[in-house]
Parts: sequence; C-alpha cells; structure tokens
Amino acid sequence: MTHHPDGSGNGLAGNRQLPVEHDDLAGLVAAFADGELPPDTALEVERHLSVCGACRSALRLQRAVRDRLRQESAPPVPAALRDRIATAVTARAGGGDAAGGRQVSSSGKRLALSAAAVLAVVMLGGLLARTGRERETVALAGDTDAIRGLIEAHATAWNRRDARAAVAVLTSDAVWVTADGVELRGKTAIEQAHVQWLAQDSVAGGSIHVHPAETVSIRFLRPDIAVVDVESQFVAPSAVDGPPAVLQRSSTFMVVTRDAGEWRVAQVRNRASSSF
Amino acid sequence: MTPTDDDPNCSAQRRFQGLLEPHLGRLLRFARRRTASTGDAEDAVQEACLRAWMAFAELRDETKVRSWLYRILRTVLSDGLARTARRRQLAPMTSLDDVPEADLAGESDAVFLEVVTRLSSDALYRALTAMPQDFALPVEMHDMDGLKYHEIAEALDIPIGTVMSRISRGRRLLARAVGARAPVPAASQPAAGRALTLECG
Repeated sequence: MTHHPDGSGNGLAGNRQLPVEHDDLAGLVAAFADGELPPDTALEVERHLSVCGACRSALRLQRAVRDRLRQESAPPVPAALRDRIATAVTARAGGGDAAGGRQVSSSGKRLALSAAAVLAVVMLGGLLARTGRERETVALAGDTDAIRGLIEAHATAWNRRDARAAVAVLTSDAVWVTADGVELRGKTAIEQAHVQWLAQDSVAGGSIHVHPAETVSIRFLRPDIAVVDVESQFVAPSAVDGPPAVLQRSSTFMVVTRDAGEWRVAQVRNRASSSF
Repeated sequence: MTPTDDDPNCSAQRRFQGLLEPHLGRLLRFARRRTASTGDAEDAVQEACLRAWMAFAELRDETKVRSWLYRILRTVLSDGLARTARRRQLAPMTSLDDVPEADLAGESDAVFLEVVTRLSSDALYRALTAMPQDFALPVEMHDMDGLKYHEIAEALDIPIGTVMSRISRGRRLLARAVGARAPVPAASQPAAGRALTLECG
C-alpha cells in the first residue's frame, strides 16, 4: 500500500507522519474501526496505529461518532403501516408478476381500498394463522429490534444524564438488583438511584454508557416475554492516548415483557463487579 | 378463493414478509429523515415495499435483501412523493473535493470526540440533515442502520473504497459540525455541566 503522500510506498508501519486527512488512509482507519478490513490489511493498519498517534486519535474519533450513532434506536413500526403493506402486497399478484393486481401505494389512494383489499387482509390473516411458526419468526424479528431499542434507549438517556428518560424503559413495578445485591423496587426508586449514580459518575469525571451490539443476546420464552443478556460498559469519554478505556464492565440480565404492544424491562440484575 | 400453503404466491409472500420485517423500522427512520412528514415517510416505505414485492422474483440472492431494499427506497424517495417536500431541505450533493479540510475534525480535535458522545438525538439529527448527503448517507446506513460496507456500496452503487472514505469523512464532518455548534466545554467544567450546556444549546 502506498498511502504516504510522499510516495515512499514503504507500507503503513513506517509512516509515522501520515496526515490523517489523507483519504485513503483515513478510509482505512474507519474501515479498521468497523472491522471491515481483510486480516492482512487490518494487521498493517494496526502496526501503523502502534506508531502513529494522529491515526490513533482519528480512530478514536471514528469510534466515538459510530458508537454515538449506534445508540439511536429505530422507531416502532405502526401496526397500521404493517397492515397497509400487507394489504398492498396481497392485493398484487405474485412477487415479480407485475401483470396482476392493483397498486396501492400513496396516501391519496389509501381511502380507495376496495372490498377486494379488505378481502385480501382477511386472506392474509388466514394465511398467517395457518403458518403459526413462520408468523412467530416474523413477529420475533420486529420484537428483537424493539428490545434492542429499549437497551439502546437506556444508554442514550444515561449519556444525556437524564434519569427519568433512563427509567422510561422500565415497567412501573420493575425490580432492579445491583451487583451489590441491593434490590430496588418500582420505577420511582430506580429513578432516584439513577440520579444518585449519575451524580457519582459526574463527580468521577463522567462516563459514556454503551451496550456493544454484539453482546446483546435475546431469548424469547414466550412471544411476549424474553430474557436478555447484555454487557454494560462505562467508557472514559476523553482518553486522549491509548485504546478507549472501559472504566467498568458488567454483565446485565434482564427480563422484558410486552404489554399492549409495548416492550418494557421488568427486571434487571447486574452480575459483576459494577458499582451500579 | 382462500390461499393455501401450496399456493406458490402465498409461499413467496411469506418469504418476502419474513425478509422485509427485520428492516421495516430502519427503513421507516431512513425515510422519515428524508421526507416532510411521518405520513410521507410511511407512504414512501409502503411504496418501496410494494415495488420490492413486484420485483421480488429478481432478487436472486436473499442475503442481499437489505441493500436491495435501501436501493429501492432511495429510488422512491428521489423520484416519488417525497421529492417536492424534500427538495428545499436537501443538503447539496457535494463531491469529496468540495469539502474543505478545515470543515473536518482532525487528529487534534479531541474536544469533538467528547462533544459527540454527549449529543442529544435532536442535535445529532440536525447535524446529519445539514451535512452533504454524499457523506451523511453512508454514515447513517452503517452506524445507525447496521449495513456493512459492501451493502452500502451495493445500495448506493459506489465502489467500496468510496464507501470507506465517505464514512471516514462523514464522521469527521459530523464531529466538526456538532462541535462547531456546541459551546466548547471548559476543561475544568464537570462532565454533567457540559452535557447540560450542550443539550440546552
């Protein structure tokens, strides 16, 4: 790789003075941060990072922006939209067969849905009822997103120092057991604890709360009850040199329930040497 | 007529909906950020789903369904009902060379790193909307929607090397943009105070 603007072509490892704005190298650093490089290239970038402080800083910035954006959860999909899509799809003959059916798309046409479309919904309902296993698979995919969204929402609220928003993901009678074995019952008590934890965190210099997406494990016990294992990390926000510093790491076990279409966290138990 | 499990059309519908479902929420968010209203976004997603269904037989490799859906949704957004509402708000499609280096966060910008990590969602979305879409799109598709680089390359029809450089530049542009808007936190100020200042700002 000849990423050095001086054309030396000696590979990344020897290029201590590479400007990070160089498109190729900056792109490689981003791809490295995202685990998108083949092993040999990743190794070369890693070697370069070990000798180039500027690129390590660039790497931290890439990760910081990415991790912050990752915390944004997708909105729930309204049931009405799902129905509209199911209706439109069912009203059309065969996937890829443009000859049949009638297009239902824009809001202007929504009210014009005919008895045929209503029939189509009924047909789709019957179809799904007969294929319960597949329906469950489809439903669980959306539910998984919703549960991941809850976890992300809590971390986002923490990072905004917003205790009330942090506990908004909980059921009103939620139970939160800290790693020290303290049992907090009810949303109000848990919110008060969050206020205290956030204050302690601020005094200690502040941290960024993250749940790495790859650590989230969800198992549905029933369609409306799931257990979640996830790693909770509190990362130093302003480490200038070296790799991102994880101040605290704990395993969190949760029980989540769905009521009236909304997923909420009913139980939390932290299981490691966390002070939270 | 009631469809049966033997009906190939019903089988295809089930497969299609199974493939579509995990992506609906993110497609809706993607559309919402590029339309004038929630209703417009839902219409765009519905239209994209219908177009996808009509072209479902052309999807040879179902592992490519995500990039395929984004590509269709982008087409709907650019040539469909969102065009008029969005046109006035669209950030210009800027080429890489049009973004001055001074607009990008660099190696000495540790402050932006801290600012970014404490941003409110509203501030983040404002900054993304204001960014040139050449950069915002791949950043959003990777960091928020979880697409891999090769999927973004397929969805946007650009080389993977371009995806890499645009994501890199996009993140630095975002960091610089939000850092420029937010008050620069004083080093001695407590972390919670800084966060409060930013969110109020």
